[in-house]
Amino acid sequence: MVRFLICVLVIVMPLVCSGFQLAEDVEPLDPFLEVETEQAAFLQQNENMLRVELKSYFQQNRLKQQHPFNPSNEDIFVDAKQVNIMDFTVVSSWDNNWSMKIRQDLRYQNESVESNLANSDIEPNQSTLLEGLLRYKSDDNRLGIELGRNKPQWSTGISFDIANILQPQRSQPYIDVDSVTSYQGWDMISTQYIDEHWSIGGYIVESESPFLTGDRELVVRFAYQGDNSVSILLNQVEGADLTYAATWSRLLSDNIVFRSEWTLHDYRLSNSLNLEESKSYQRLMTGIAITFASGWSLFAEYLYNEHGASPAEWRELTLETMLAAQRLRMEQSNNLAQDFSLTFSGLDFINQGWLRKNYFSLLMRSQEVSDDWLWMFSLQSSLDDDSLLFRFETAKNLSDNLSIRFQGELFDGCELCEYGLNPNQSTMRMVFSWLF
Amino acid sequence: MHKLLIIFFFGLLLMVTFTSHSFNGSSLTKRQITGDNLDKLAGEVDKDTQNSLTLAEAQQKLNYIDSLRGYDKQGFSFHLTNVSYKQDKRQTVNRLMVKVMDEQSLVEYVSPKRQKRRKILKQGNNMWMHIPGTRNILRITPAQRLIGQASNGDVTGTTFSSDYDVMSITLEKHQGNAQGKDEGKDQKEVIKLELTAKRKNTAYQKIIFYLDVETQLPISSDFYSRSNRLLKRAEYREFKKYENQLKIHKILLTDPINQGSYTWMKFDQYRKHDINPALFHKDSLLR
Repeated sequence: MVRFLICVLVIVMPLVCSGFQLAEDVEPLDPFLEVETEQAAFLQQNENMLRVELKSYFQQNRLKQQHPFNPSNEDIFVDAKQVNIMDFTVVSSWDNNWSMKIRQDLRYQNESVESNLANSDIEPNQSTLLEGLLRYKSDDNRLGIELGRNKPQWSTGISFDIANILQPQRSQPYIDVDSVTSYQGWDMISTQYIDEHWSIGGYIVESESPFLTGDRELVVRFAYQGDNSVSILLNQVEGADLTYAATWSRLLSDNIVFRSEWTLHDYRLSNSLNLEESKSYQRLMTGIAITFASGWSLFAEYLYNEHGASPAEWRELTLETMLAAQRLRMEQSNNLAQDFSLTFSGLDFINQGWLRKNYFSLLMRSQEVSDDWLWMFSLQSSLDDDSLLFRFETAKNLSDNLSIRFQGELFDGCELCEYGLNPNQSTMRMVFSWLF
Repeated sequence: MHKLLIIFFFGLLLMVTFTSHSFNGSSLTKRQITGDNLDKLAGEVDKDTQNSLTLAEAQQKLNYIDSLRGYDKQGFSFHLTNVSYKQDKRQTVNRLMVKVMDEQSLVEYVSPKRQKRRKILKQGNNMWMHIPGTRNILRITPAQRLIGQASNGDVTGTTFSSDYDVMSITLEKHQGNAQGKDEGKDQKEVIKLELTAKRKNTAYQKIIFYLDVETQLPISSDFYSRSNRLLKRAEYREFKKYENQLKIHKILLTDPINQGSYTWMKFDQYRKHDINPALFHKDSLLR
């Protein structure tokens, strides 16, 4: 509780402090008298684009002494990680109507257990096609057709993007922005038609849902853009009933945005929890974003997640896994296969996000100025067990090409609480990015 | 207990947010003036000052100010370069291409390199942003700062005649800037045009324009919050003719709170042309 309060204070503090700044008053000189017209810079903007980014990061994890789900007496969790990524994007247009986009990454990853990078498993030269699509748009820009690998995102949420129904479950509490695979799309054919404030879209997608066996899914989206922007999504996966989603956002004032999302599934987004009979599962996200005069922005969101474990389910699952891991560690297991299965499904379960029913997130971000430090403080709290994840991030562009970012995470909660179950007590990551 | 704390925090946050907007609301004159009663009010103002002009004239001047940033209903585009300073140190430069049609604008970043192809769409008071590399389209606020002292609204443009009502128009001696700088020096007579927002909860509830008596061109404008706090000052430093029509070429935005922080904006390459309306749909930002 005290830690929660401290975290909230740390997040809100920059806003309070940003009001106290003094500086000399001098007559500003016109910079355009020195810097002559930048017409050449504007002319560089054309339809064809090649973007190449080399990103390299090192992450150090401070592990918990003994994780309750660890079936071994030795550490099994990664305590250091080094990743080098080359991210290529090519966009090419032939005329006003046809274009193509390809985004491919090349990764070299190095992970270690017990801080020994030399003995780690090395998986170099992994490569993934993140996006690869052929695009047609009509002369009046109303009709668009896309064929290939694509990643449409329909959510307006910051921490809880539940309306992105093609990616039903977060793999982590936060999207790992440095992992380019989080940008990997799905193979699909899609079309959209725009008519003034309205748009309608249809998507036929090769399904990759881990919760259903169907090969294909269909999404239809209706959207209205205005003071109240709303969208309705219908998702049909082979072998399941319709899934519904809706989004709503509204500008409450010149500096406050309200947003809300809702989804309804007839199946549970979890392989570890049982289906409840005749039950449909809802999610609701609601939140606001406030921009302050100092340039700082605050985002607050609440998530209700009916797919998450109830207190009884959580107790049963965590206790069973913990006892199975304990039996394996003490070599007292009577059924090795079952205990290993229980342990690994427990470990797999905690590797996902949104495991419980109620969440709250708070994020504070400084104004984005390309040559200045960007600051971000945030927390996500699982309200069902009072555990939380606090996150700190700062980034700066050192030049047009080079940028650095430092991030730290702190997991807090009881041993069998959601964020307390994370194998890390804290993590630190240093990221270097070179944009060619 | 934990939930209670969050509810309390949310409540406190909302209270602070809304009270900061409504405090001093009473210090502002609440009269909303439109069309028919403009001249009547002008008469009232005349009783107070011999220097008052008619409010119909004021509306005309407001339309003229709008014409310096656009071409009415005709679609057009321009290039914008922003140079931002903090503590008098050059901080950042960005270049934008802006397409405008009626109350809609589409901004595309040309530089810096990391923000290239970022797009901001404005429709009325609603704004959305798309960051390349992601597929999300985020709803943003007009008050969100784009660069230095320039907010999204500054870049995409405000139609003063449709968003603001004229409260008063007077002739007065120019007092330098809002902090009273140059006071006592050779003071020039200027037209003072006071505007108030038609909508509640706009970032700038009151704007005061100072216009040159001879040229009728704006010299500067002060932007006030609902609590009557001066948030920003714009100085109109240069005008230029494009296709035979005079347009604002250079603006200096200063921050009265953080002195030494300012942003230069250069508008260039104004061009009238037809723009496809479907470009101003947020789903088009991904194409």
